[in-house]
Amino acid sequence: MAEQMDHPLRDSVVLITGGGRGSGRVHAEQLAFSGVRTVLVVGSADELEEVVGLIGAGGGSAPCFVVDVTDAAAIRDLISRVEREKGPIDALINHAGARGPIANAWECDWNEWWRVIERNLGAATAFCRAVIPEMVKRRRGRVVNIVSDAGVYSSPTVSAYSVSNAALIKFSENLALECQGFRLSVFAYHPGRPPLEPGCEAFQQASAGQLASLLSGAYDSLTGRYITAYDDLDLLVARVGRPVAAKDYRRLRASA
Amino acid sequence: MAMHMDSTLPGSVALITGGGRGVGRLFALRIASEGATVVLVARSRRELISVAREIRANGGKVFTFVADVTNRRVVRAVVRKVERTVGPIDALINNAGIVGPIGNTWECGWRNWWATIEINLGGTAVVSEAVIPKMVERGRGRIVNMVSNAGAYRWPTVSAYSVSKAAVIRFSENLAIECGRFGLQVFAYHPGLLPIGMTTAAAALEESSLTAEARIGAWCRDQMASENAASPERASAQLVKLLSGSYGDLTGRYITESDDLDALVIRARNVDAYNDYLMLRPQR
Repeated sequence: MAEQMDHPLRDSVVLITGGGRGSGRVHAEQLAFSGVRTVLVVGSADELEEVVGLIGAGGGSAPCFVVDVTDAAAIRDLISRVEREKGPIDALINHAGARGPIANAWECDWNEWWRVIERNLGAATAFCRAVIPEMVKRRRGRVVNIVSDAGVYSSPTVSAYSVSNAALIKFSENLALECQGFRLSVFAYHPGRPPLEPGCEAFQQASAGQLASLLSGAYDSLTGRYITAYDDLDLLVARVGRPVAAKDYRRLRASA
Repeated sequence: MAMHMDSTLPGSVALITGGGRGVGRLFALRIASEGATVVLVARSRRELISVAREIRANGGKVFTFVADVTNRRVVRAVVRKVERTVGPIDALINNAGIVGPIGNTWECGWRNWWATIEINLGGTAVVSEAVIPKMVERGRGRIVNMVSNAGAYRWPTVSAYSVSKAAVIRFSENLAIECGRFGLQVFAYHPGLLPIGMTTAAAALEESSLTAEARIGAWCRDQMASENAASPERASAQLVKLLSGSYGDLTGRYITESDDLDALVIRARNVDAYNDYLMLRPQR
């Protein structure tokens, strides 16, 4: 692949959670094929086998770990191990998540409902907390929390999913400000909804490209903002840079 | 004060969580004085007894239940008992909440950080989920979820609180749409920075040796001394308006104590322009 020559993340260590399925796997594959030192975290041994096989078949390789993303202690241990064995983590992509029950909130199984909050908000938070202290010491690192526009707009009957994504977008915004002084960047990224065939694969590639751009360092001025696969990043940078631009631009907020 | 002609508060039953102190106590006293029977739910029996005594001294009607809003089994038992012995719950005010840890997220204890999400978001969802089915059967009910500007905007170093409140604002919006066709109304309400409860507790962090805590304490003291400080009287009057039944057009919205509700209704009716009006969303 041509991009292998000059991929901005070449030789960087990128840890991606939820890389075993869905768009997380597409992103993981593209990173791994681009010469990025991709470390995968997946939810099950089956997923591990499948994704490692796929990346291997494509000529890439990526170490892959299975962890329960609701176990904060296990996540901490895993991050120490990755830093020890693979080197400092330059970027964290929190992709793991669950869609959860679909019904009116009061008609959903409560345990299922809450599990979505734990898996979408809790897991990403736990990974950030495990990875960021070392990034802070190195004054270097980027975090992308994968979110959905269901967190931005109202989404009845998929409430747990929507609420957890709103929470994760707001978390990204707060975290970005907290670690700005340590030169870290944090983004909430909505990878979009791939069209049905045809065009699905091209869309996913473009979306993964947008993700790589966020991790490249060229768009750090957008830290703390909600970004989508459909955005023109240079246009957003220009708007955020304008003194008249609302400081709430691209942040979850109530319009006054 | 002139009451709304169609106010549904007199003779109704209003359940308030976190009703033992602070903003919960303020609202409980006010709603009782409007003629509603108040059901207070809180963890501290001592505080419940104290607020109940105040309400009765003013001639109000009150029932108290000791419960932790994160204990789903207990919450459901309390709600069943209220419906059976006090009467149908017409209004629910999800007020129980904590500020949570103060500091950079990665430096806060995980247990405290997550407990803030469990109490502020989980508690609100658990109590709502317990109360709503009966409201749906009756085709009437109002829910006010207490939120904060910290959830609409941001509050670095108080991230668990900010995140939990953003989550509750989004939850309120979704819930309002889900139960709108059953005649229920749901609001996310920011009462402003009041010189009681959480804000005073945070302002007292003056002596903290932790920089982040001292900074938040100083900010709260500044805000309370400024024109941004809210008045308890106005904050409770706004709540009474939301519970009156007159502002159904604003269901699902994020409302603050300083909003002119009648002006908001006019704007919200302009559906094309204001579909997302006062709801959380980024600018395009």
